[in-house]
Amino acid sequence: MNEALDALQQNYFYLTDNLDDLLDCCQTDAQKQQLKADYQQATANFYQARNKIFQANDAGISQAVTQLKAAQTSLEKMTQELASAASVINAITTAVRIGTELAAMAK
Amino acid sequence: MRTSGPITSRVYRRQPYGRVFAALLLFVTFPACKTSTEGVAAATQLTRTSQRLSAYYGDLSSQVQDTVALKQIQADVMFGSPFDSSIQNELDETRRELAQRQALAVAMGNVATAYAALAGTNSAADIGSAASGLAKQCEDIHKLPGGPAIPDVVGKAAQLLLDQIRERKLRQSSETISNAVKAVGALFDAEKPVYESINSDRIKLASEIARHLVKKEDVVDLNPALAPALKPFDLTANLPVHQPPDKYRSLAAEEITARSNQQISDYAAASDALSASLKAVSEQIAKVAKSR
Repeated sequence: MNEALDALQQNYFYLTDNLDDLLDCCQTDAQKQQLKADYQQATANFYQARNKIFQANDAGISQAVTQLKAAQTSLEKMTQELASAASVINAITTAVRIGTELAAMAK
Repeated sequence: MRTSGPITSRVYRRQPYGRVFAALLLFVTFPACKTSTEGVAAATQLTRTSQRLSAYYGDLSSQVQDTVALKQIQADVMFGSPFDSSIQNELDETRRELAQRQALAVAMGNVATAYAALAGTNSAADIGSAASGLAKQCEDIHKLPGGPAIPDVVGKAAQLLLDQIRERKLRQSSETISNAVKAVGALFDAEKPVYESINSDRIKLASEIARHLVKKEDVVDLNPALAPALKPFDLTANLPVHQPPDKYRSLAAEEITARSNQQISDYAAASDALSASLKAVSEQIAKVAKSR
């Protein structure tokens, strides 16, 4: 976690952990309203910064998904090619069988 | 009228078999299947890790949804005012980001399936069928001079030939997959503190609301907090419903704090374990790429 996000998290988590006690400390409604506004702002600051970290990595995710999809397509193609190789073996089998029949006829 | 004698004819017809067998026998000497076996093991591990990763992101997304509900409860119970919708927008954005990461985990799972197919699951049937078919068809070759051992060799060689092709393809693809999995692991490690903060946020919100409800509101049954002392003797607490003594409220509040800390710590350990699994599977696949 980068330092800025870490600082915002510490501020927000401190307020969350102690919110009930802090509200108890307020002696007027105005103070409570101010605390509520501060808490909402601290929450928004932290959530926005956190989303920016996610968004900064979006290009990397798209790239990784593209890489994985390409790998999958390549693997499927290779598997098909392998099945084709099996078909070639079958063709060889057929050729051998014909050859065997020819050999038997020659006896 | 015969154009050649019987001996000449037999020698002439044997030549193609001799070449085929010689070529196929070359493959018998190759150590086959090691790569495929390692590939199957790596594919199984990749499948499991992808499923865990997908479940991890799915759970994280549910935690964000719970956080929205907790924010609403917090606004109502602790502030006595409506929930700020801009906070919900930010949390919705977080869920969209997590959905992208879950899609990444699903894409990794699809690669694992394709990798497993190449390593042996589906194509093995084709290869096995081809090889056994070849061996069966070659039974008649027993009748040819010098041929008793050949059909079995041909059957094995056919399979080995396909194994060689498959293993070369496995090695070719393994490095690419290993790099892609490594990239997913690097992303996970870079964002792990943020994932843990989502979990901590939910737990801290829940525990602060719970502590508030225990201390200030008469809506929580405190009997479970005394259960560890009373349950072994089949006793139940008989606390005054609306005015339990403060010391019992404090006891419940301390229990909430202790369990919160434990849950946060457990989640960090689970995230570390998943990170280690991503690294391990990436290395396992890289090993397939280098195997001989």
